[in-house]
Amino acid sequence: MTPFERKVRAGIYALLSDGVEIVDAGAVAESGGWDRGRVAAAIRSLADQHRIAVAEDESVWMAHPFSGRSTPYRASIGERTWYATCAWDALAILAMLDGDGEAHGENGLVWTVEAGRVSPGGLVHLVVPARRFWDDIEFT
Amino acid sequence: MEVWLDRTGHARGYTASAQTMYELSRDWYANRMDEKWQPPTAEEAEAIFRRHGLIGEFWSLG
Repeated sequence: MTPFERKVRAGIYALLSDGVEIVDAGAVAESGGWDRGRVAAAIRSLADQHRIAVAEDESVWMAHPFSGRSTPYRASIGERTWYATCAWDALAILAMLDGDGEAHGENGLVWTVEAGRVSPGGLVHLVVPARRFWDDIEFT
Repeated sequence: MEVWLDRTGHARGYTASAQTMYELSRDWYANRMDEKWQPPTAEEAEAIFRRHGLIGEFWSLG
């Protein structure tokens, strides 16, 4: 990553953590006071490097553990809510933000995290081995 | 788990406790939001997995 790509990557995460729904080159450029075209190029490069994934409209689709699109997986801390890319990442948002809250999955699954303890426990099943995570990131 | 595998048609992968995955996340996503974050090398990533008991072919990056 170039120094500018690092700034753009951090800007993407800041916007997603702030709850911005659509994070695209325009939003990142405005937040950082940068040229939109330069930011768009950085976003494409970050996607090529598998630091993020972008949607067809070139907005940010995934900046793990955040999802830039609505999914069945969510994390919430108080009144704040974020979409996650999978059940693991719903837990990961709480871990990354170091907050007590809830992680929501499919079929009504809800985990509560309080002081680092996850209840009611249960299992996370990963289908794709670690070395192939980015082969098909949507499936992963 | 068996019911879920039957319903979804997925092959069996790796199953870890939610607690383990939460604790892994604290390491895996540490400093992720910082501008200075560096992606871990394969060796560093495997070391993180190992610290949480995640070993074997599924977690190998070699």
